[in-house]
Amino acid sequence: MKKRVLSLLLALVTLFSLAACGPGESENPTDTTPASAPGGENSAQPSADEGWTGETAHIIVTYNTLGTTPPDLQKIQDAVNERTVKEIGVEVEFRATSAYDAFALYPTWIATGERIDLMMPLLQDLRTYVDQGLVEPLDDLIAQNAPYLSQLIEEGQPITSNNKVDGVTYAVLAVPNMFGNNGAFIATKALVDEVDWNYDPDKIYTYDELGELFALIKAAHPEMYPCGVVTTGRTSSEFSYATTTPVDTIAGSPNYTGVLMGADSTEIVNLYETAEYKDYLEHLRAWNQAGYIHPDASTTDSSVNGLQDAGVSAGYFMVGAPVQAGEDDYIINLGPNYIASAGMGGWVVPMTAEEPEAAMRFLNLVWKDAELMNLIQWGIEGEHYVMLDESIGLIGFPDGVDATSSPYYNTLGLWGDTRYGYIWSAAVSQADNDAYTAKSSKLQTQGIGISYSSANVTNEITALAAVAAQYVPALESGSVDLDTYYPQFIQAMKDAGIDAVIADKQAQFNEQHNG
Amino acid sequence: MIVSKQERVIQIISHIVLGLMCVCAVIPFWLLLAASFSDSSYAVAEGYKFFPEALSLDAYSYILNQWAQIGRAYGVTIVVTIVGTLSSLLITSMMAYGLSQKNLPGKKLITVLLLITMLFNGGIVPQYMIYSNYLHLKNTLLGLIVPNLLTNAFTIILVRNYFQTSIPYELLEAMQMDGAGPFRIFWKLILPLSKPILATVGIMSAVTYWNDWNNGLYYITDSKLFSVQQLLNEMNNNILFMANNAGQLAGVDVTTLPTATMRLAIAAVAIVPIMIAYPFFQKYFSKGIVMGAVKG
Repeated sequence: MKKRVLSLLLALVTLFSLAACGPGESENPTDTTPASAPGGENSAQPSADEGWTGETAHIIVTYNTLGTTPPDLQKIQDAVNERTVKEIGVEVEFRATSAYDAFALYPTWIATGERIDLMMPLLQDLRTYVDQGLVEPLDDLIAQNAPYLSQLIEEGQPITSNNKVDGVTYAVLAVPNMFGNNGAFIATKALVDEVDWNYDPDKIYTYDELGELFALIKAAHPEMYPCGVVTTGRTSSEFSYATTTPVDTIAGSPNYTGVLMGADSTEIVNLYETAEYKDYLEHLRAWNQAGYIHPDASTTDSSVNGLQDAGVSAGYFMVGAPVQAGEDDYIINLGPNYIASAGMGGWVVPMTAEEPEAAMRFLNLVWKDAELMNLIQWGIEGEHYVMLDESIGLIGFPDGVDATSSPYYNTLGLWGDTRYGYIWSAAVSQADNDAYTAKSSKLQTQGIGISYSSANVTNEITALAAVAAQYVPALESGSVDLDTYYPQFIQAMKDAGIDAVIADKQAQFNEQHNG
Repeated sequence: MIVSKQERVIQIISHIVLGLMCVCAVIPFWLLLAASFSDSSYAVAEGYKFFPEALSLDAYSYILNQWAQIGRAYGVTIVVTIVGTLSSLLITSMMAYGLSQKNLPGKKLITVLLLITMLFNGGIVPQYMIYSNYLHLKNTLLGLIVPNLLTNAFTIILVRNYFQTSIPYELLEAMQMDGAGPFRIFWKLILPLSKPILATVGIMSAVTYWNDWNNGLYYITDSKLFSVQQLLNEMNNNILFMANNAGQLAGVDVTTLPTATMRLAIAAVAIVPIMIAYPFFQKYFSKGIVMGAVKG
């Protein structure tokens, strides 16, 4: 008897500990994309408020941080409420969480019934939220409470177009200030000028030409590792930052689930088996052996920016969009600008919301009113920033405040119409963003408007994620021999079931592409 | 004292071995301190050095700048450690006292129940559900104090053994004869005589409370209640998150995120108090464990 009770206990314990090991899978959506480029002028002027006559509703809104809650968040909240209570009858309460913790917390909150009226699962997989029934459909809510959002949608702004599952809208995204993508290397201006390399912002360089730049910089500064690569913590390829050709992973799904290579392609292929990727790896390997890559690339806990700022590297691979480069950087283009399908994501109304209508009114006002958006984004004028150039919306720190001491700075831009957001550097004006968008719009992949559900092949995808996490950091820091490890990697992907995933993705693609 | 040659050799060898172990323990601390005082760019470029050439106090001035948050976390850690350790000592010693009594009814059953908790537990999911949904410890300081850390069977048995073996039963009987009740005996006799074991158990519990970030991870989401360790864990996770999504989070000013040296400085500041506390308890340390560990 004793033994039986004991074994039962043991079995239960095992069961519970297994149940505790839920996967914390994270998605890696690519950049946002429109169905069409953003159109003409929108009036961003605050509306002549008619005032709110009904009851005031209190809503709880998540506030994503990067680990530290801005000390002045309460002040901002008060300033926001001063306007929203009067104009739309909404009193906002921000609930600060770090974007990283949100991955685990948000689903738990909703599942345990904690009330949240408006939530931003930043870079999380919206489809899981929808599949598990954690969020409310928004179509009716938008139509009834958010006239301005409806207007934006009609204008073709992609604030909801990527966030539909079976035709039902589940999330509202901030209006992007820029569209497109291209592979590029962000390089320190001073170093490029010093070695007398002919930099042309419009030229598309090859890896070999970039290699020549590395060689020149290495010759001038033998102690440097010009090609900044950090693969610590990397879980899948960052090839898209250095791509020479348009890549579309389809609606932000992970790049080890198959991609479209090239703007005209309608065939899903394994990114890691393509000639382009192999070429990229071969160059990285050669650069590593030539001493262009930091020997600790796969173990250091510095960021690529950290390496560049410390003068260890001359730059790093990154999307060549204006916002990515500082005033002291050149963007060395490695591939053409293009627009690929966008990942899902945006503001959702959880099932546990008690005031969904008020939440929608709030979204509507913030999207419509650039002043309110900038208040949430950058704080109070005179206190957290001062206006330097009204014509382009350039702002800077007030006297005696800097990036580290400001009580409200460096918030994530997740709100409203980001085209009207203030900027901190004249190097990134909305005109530059528009130019980038225009350039990108000329080359659009076949994946636009297509979504992918990996529900049929979840086991394969978990296995593929593990394989990618195992091989990619070593391969992409160029620290292992390609002849041995690359074939092993490809074989491991085959064993993990990449072919089944690609077939599944291709089938869904064909259905939506032709339909 | 006359020491034979053999003993001397043994002594020299043990000194060498212990010395090496000591060095192994000290080196990481030294590296931590040295790195926290190095210049940030220097640390990125050259790696962490035992004797950094470019020194800087930036990391510590960052701590002062962010004192609103870091200081608060510090306060939380101190309160949790003090309250947690005291309640842990009280609960542990009272239970041990009860179990050390010869005439306790159902003593065997209680001991078996106690031992079961050493071998089995419900796992994290039921635990989380009980603490958050039924006991409502989420986002309270109790959430940092109660789960897992308050007491455990091992320390209770350790303390019970000490009571049984080191405190003569005759003393208890004498006090009983004089009319003292169980509580009076506990306060006036047992506790004062048990300083070594209580100090030992106390420091073990204090160190666990001080270093714990697991409970914070599960039960605390309000950044006002973060402990220092949880704050550090948060910073590391978010920086990694940031680095992995740099392409999507364009426009975030990464220069304001704490650098590696700043995080090391916070870690350094976080260990200092518990390190200072250690020597004060040390004299009781070995004595307590050895005496409590004797089978009774």
